[in-house]
Amino acid sequence: MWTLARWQLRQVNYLNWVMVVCVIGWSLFTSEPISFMHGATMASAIFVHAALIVLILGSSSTSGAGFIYSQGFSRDQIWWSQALALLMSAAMPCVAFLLTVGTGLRGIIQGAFENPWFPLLGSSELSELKWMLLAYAAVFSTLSYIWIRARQPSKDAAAGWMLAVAQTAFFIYCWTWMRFAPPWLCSVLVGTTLLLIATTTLALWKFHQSVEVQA
Amino acid sequence: MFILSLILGLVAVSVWCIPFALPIWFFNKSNARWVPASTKRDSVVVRHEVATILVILLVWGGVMSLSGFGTAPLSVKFLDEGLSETTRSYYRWATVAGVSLALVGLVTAWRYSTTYAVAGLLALGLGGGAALQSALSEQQIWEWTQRHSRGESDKSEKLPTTFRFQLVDNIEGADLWINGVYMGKTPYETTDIELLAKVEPWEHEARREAEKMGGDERVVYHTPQGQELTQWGWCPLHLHGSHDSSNMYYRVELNGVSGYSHVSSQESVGPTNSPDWVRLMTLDTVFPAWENSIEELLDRARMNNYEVDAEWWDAFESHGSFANQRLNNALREEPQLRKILMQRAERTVQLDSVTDAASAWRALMEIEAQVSQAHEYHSESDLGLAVDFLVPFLDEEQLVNYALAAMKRWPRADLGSTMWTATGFGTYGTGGTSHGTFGGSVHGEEVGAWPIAHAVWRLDQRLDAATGPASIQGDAHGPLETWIDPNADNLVERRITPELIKLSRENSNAIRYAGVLGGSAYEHFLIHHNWREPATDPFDGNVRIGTSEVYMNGWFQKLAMLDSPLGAEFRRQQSDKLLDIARDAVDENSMWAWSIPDGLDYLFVDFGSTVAPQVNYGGSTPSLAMQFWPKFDGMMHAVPERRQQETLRGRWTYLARMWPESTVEMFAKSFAEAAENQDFTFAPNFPEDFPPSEQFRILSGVIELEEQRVSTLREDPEEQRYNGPKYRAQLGISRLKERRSELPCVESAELLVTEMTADPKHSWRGRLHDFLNNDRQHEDLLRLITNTGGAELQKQIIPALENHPIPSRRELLRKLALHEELRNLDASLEDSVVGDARAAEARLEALEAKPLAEMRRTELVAPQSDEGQSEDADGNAVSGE
Amino acid sequence: MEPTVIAADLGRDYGTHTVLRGVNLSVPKGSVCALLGRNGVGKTTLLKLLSSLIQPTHGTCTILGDSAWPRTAITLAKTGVVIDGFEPPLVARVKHLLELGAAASPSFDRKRADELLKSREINPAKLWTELSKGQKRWCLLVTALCRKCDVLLLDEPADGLDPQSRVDLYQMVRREANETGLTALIATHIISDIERVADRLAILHEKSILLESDLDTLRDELWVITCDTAPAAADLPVSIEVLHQTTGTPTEIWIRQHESCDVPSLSGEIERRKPTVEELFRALTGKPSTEAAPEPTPAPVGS
Repeated sequence: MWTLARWQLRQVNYLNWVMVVCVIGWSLFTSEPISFMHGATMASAIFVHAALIVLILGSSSTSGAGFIYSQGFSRDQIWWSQALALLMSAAMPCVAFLLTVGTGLRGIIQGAFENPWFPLLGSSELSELKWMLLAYAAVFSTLSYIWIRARQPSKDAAAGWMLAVAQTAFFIYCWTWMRFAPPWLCSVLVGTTLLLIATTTLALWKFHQSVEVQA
Repeated sequence: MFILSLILGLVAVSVWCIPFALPIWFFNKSNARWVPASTKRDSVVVRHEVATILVILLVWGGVMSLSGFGTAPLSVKFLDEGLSETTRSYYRWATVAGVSLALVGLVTAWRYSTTYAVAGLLALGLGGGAALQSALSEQQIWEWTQRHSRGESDKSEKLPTTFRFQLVDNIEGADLWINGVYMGKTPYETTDIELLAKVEPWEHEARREAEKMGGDERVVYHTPQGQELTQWGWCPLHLHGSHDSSNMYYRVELNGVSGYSHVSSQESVGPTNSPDWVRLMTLDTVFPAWENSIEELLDRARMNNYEVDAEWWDAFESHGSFANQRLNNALREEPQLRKILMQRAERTVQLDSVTDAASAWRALMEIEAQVSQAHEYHSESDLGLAVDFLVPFLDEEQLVNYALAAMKRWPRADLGSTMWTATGFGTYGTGGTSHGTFGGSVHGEEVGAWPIAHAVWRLDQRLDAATGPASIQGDAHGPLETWIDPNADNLVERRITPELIKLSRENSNAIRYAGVLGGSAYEHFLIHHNWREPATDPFDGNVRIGTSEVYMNGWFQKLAMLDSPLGAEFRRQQSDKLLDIARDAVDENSMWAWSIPDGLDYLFVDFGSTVAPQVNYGGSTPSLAMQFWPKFDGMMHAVPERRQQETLRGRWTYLARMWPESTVEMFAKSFAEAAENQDFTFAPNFPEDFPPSEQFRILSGVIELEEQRVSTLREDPEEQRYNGPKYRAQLGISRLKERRSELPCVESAELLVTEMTADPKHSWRGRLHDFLNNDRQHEDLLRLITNTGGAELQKQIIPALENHPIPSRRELLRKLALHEELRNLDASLEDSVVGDARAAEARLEALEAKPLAEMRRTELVAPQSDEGQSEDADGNAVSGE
Repeated sequence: MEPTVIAADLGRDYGTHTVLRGVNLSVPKGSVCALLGRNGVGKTTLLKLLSSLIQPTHGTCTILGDSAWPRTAITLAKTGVVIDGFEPPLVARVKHLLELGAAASPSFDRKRADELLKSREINPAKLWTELSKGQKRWCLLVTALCRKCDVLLLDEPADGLDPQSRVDLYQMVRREANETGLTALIATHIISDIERVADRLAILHEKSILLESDLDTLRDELWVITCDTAPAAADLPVSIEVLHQTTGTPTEIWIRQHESCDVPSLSGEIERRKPTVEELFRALTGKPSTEAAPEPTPAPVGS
């Protein structure tokens, strides 16, 4: 599976490295405290990055996708390799963020710019990593479902798209209100998000087994 | 309006949906090409999609609405009886429509197509929701306008507003009159329309109207000390709403006993947002008999040096809110009553069992729990005083760790705008912020953070006091960082302040609290912000100077207000800019002539600072306040003659804040200039916290200088005998002397006694009785008069000794009663003094012996009267008119 | 022994359009079956069905005894597929292709693959985009062959290959079939290639298999008889299967003689001869093949 995962990853590596560079640049040179709850820059970048990856890897109607399905791998092997490739695609910018913030490099550079938030913040911004991972998981699962659903031998192919729209609207709504909601409601919103991600991921795995290759 | 909004909403949503509709067409077209026509929807796929939609609907629509967040108007607010029926109907219909839409959507997704189900839910839900929201807002604005208009509209168009009159503690059965018309018994409900139909606003104020009616609406009662006091029974009634409420007065009798109010009726806002809403009018009426009982209880406490027991509390609390109100009102002039609050706290949280850190911690947790439940906190309340008591016992690390955890638990706790002493707003707290639909408070539990924050603040003060003044000496020509000493940080500043600063990203009030605590992290944070004008950082928050159009960079202002070596150095380096800002601010408006506007307090920070010892004003290094004084003083000349009193008050306040850099000559000069321009009937007050002994020194100096100046003036011509410059100046001097005599300090007492003893016709001889009766602070004067004052003066102070029977005054009273050390000037007078003193002592002893149970609140009983009964406008027999 | 590849009443609809219906196919183990059909008749669709890339609408298809959809991992690992139009992504290199093949099949013969690539001067480090059409096709085929599969499904494998490469390819397939029992189903319209490698023939026409037979047997049994008038069906012996009959005068009757004996004379018979496979294809499908391969030489009657 590792070979297959690398095969998948190779197609999007250039995107990942672009994202890594963006994350490093942003995390080193952003003067405001990094907070996903108060800024849409990185969330938007993650959305674009994840969407492009899903577009490239997730479709089963391209020549490349058809090829991989015809090389003797089972559906499950292909799915797990894709999941691994997505995980590694998400991990690259997250690791970049972890290194720039966790090693104190951001603090050093911002300190040189006399940023008032440093060295006060230290590496406490690392806690934002969980939101990065959550955002990747949400976008990956939500957008992947579009293609998986469209390639099901089943009617109503646009259901994946509309469900992605609804889920995205819901996630944006949750993200907007997390800033104001009391802690118990934040837990409900995060819990619901995780539930949707989990169920969608399970559905992806299950439905992928019956997806048709219509290149 | 609703239909139009609905149409517009649907059109807007439809246009917005076009980018989303195109992919639907694309997917379906593509799907139709390769999926066999006979294929149906996969059942597993359908189940997954319907379940996803259900989860989203439940959370988005259900939970968010129940908690009061977002998704208006879908909400269970239709259950809120505080809203108008019309408003509730909007919420009701929105909920019905929303739930129906959700069900239809789910069924559609299950049976037919997820695509069209979700598209329909989004389009109709968002479009319809927006339309309903718009219509609901219109309705609520209209209702608000109806409530708050002041009679400009035709009364016939107004919706009735229901008023419910009730007494404190909701005492039932009291008789209520409004403008002489008997209304009924409390709790009494009426609408504004009914009220105005029954009652006409009085043309004149209450006293004249009552005289016209021929009634005597005074409430006469006798204090336990035998004094006869009179209060006016009619109290202004403010009916905020859709009509003019001037010249409306109310009066209350309970069981035929008249009550009176110290203040106008307090309006407790009842249920809001309804055309038929009920305004809860809690009448602030007190009844002499109960007042007397409460005063007796307080006197018993005073006799015992403010030590009270459970039986006393039982009697005190039987008076309900009346007692609490009386106690709170008395605290201002009699701070010793705090001791009683402390004892209440001891009862509530068992402070007497606090002996170590563990027991203190338990007590603090009990306070936190009580505050969280009550949703309010008052730093000057019993619980607030209890926190002050506990702090020295608490384990510092434990408190700091707990506070850090509390910050994580309540990140948005309202620390800045709550009015408690640490933030400098005042001395009392308020309750929770927003309230959920079911009556509970969504954020109310965050009030539990306030006692913790209070404790941390006190701990910070203790640690600062233990450390002493900062001693860092930075580089006067180098960067500001050299004036920050991290080694000087105490535990709170080292651990709490940094976290507060981090928290300020989502709670802007946290930075204000961080400023109160201070520390190197806060100072470092400030100097690295963009404090140089003009502000570019949106978080800077330009600070407006008073109500002028002058703004200053928020970070700049915070740095200027720092009470630390860094702050002092910053003010020194930026003195030119700070003075420019101040000049620009006062140039804006001559109204500033009598008060220094908010935002310019940085002029006075260096005075009284215990942290910045390098500031040593005087001589060749004038303070900022001193540098600005000529400008501020010069504004006097731009002020109209009739406002000279306010001007002088403002100037003396400025000079007092600058003391001791300011001089007596400066006070005198201001006084002389003001006196020249206007007759003075009073002398200006000093700030409340200005030491009386210093006031005495200044007033004495001003009096001396004024007398010297007046002695050089020519005599006034005959026609200006009573308004010439010399007359006015002499009048001013006499006012100053009066003010000096009123000061509660030993110097003032000695001077007054000396003067009164030397002058049998001294003016104070006639007013000593009233002066001391209304003031509880002149212990020195009372002692001096008792020991050396002579019988005539001693006779006058006996009521004051009796009215405030604290142990020291009782001692003086006994001394007068025993007669052993007095000098006999006039035997009859002496006997009179002894007799009065003994009678007073006897009354006090009787009070001391009186069972506390007899001081409980009792049923009021009307005095027997031979006066005939009268009738109200409705022909009902009533009494007391 | 059960055939390796079986299609039983297999059908597939695309929307309202039926591409395949009632397809019956049986390819024994170790045989190479050529699947002939006009352009757009559904050859690729049939291969996709057999390789479980798409799901049948009707019927079943079984490979190595596995009729599940999608196939199990074991079956997929033993099945090599080269579908026209399925290619690696642009960022792939040839060596990555080989790695993938090795990952799919543990028995992948890397050494042989390298030799085969070297024979065509294909550098494994090259990017896929840098290869010619023929080189790309060669790489795909080499990868499929070196996986040592049990079943090979090839869609137009020779498309783009030079004549020598075509010969080499089919020789490899043939050799594998002979030595290892590889079962291959090759969809093509180059009939000359068929005769080099295939030992079975299946003609797909109008949504179903029109003819399926062992090639040698077909050659033995196939006759074209020209008559001046079409004989009545009752006049035909029962051992004769009429495959196709032209209209008009004279009439050509394409028959199969199932019994190993001489075909009796028919009334009005003018001549009889042994047709070529291409002639048969054209006659059955009604149009000549569109491929630009050289015209095959008709086999003499009786050979």
